[in-house]
Amino acid sequence: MTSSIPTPANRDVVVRVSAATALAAGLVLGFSLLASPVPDARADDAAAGETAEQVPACLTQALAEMKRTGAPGIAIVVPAERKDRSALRDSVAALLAEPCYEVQELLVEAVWVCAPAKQVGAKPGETAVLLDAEGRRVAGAVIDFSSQVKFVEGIGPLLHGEKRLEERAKAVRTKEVKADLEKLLGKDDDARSAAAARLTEAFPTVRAAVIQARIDATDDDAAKRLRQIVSLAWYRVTVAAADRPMSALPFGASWSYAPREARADPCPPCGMARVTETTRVVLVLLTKEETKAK
Amino acid sequence: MTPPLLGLNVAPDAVFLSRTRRMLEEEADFLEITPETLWAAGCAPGPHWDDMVALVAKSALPVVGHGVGLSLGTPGIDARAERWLAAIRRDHAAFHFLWYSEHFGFAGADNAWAALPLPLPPTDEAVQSVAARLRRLRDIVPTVAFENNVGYATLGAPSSEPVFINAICSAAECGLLLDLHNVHVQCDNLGVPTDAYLAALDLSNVIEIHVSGGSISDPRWLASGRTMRLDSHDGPVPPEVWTSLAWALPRCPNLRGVVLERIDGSLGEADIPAHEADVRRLREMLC
Repeated sequence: MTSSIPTPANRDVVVRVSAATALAAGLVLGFSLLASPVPDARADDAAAGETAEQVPACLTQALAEMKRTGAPGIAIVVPAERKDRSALRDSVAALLAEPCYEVQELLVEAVWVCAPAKQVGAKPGETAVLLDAEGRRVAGAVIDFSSQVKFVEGIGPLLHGEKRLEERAKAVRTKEVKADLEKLLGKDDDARSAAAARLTEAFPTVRAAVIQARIDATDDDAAKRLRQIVSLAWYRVTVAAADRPMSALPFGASWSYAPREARADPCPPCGMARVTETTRVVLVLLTKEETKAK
Repeated sequence: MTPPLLGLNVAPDAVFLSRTRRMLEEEADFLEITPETLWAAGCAPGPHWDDMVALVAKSALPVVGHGVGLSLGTPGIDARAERWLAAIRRDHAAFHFLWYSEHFGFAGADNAWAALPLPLPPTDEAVQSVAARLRRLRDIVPTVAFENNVGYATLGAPSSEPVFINAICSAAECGLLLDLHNVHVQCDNLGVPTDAYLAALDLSNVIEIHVSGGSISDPRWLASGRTMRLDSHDGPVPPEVWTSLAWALPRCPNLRGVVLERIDGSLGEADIPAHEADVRRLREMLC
């Protein structure tokens, strides 16, 4: 499962985290509980479960989404200590900076929300709680969000363990969904395209069936087609997240999230010695020349 | 004499903006933006152009423009330069720059383009080329300056670069943006005494000063294993730059502002206290 997980250089991660934090703010409901870069008494109170204003709103929103789609929820437990919240925020943002396929799949499989331990029934030490579509605690785990590998190793069993994914998949695998999954893996191009379009459109409610089929796929071609459905769902999630506002900007300004496709160059020249992709290639060539000359 | 204003750079990055929010709101007298970072292909407004216009309007602070890629040293005005200048004109209409600065050097030649300006040969032809583009820039923004670039190599004697810079200021009748970290980095890497370099500059030309921090290159970058000081804007202002600033401030009679620059993507949660301490130290020095 972890074969395609990259191990990018720290510098790359730092540079990409900015956009990823904007994405996290839209993707993870209640992310603002982690996102205040300065001391914020309201976040302190909310993290400790003392204030019942902001957090229920996140949970209410998450529960509505879970009920609408039948998807499970993952509650990321908000640490009580500010420094721990800060570290968790950076870890989640880094995780979203350049997620590998396996991470994307786990992210689109559930509804994500930040919540204080008290409000999701987290046991001491647990950092994530799996909620069913009714918002009830199913299980908890100690998840390490600091690396893609550890995230996959932790969240995978939490979402799929004890045949949980299989049961969710069975529940949504209607006759129509089953037929579309078969057509997707068939040889009729037109039927395959039509099935892919329907599964993509219905993904929020049939995600468990698609992901289970991807896991069960016995050949590479079938797995590839199913992965494309999931990847497209991930793309849609990122675009939808872009429409949600960021907070805590100077002068009360607002900021739109620009999907990668909208940026001409993810690293425009700014005079601060941050090199563009093109320049990086030139630098590599120059270094090679120097090596050759010696 | 009115004390110079304190400026902070605003990068088009939501996390950077939120992490520098307190200093921007409480300490900044003016903002510095690099318009090019707001552009998409063809110099058209990019996805955050409107965001930045709105942010600047909400701040009610004055703004200075700081360009990188006009390529002052490229002779003549080609189609790219015309497009570039038109975009600056458009942005000036939106941001109302107090003044506009560009980097010294050239970024383009024979249709090949570098992301950062490269060093120029210290010739009369280069002086005239740079002055010509600065004059075009001045047609758009009445007050212009150019920034002493940081070169990791020079085409003339590194110690004589101040003479070259003074000549351009005279020829273009423009200001100088004295980047003290660039001076520190270049002098350190190329073995030139910083005080001699600064003393050779005509400081009456200086209208703006930049201070920032940087890091040391990875020894694996060069086959020799040699490391170099980098103008990477990713750390606190080093003591040498503070010393240079203390020396320069009373010697720059036309100085309007000092900008503390920090690159987005380098300011983690743990870096905020040191960054804010730098801002407050700068404020104390300017009062």
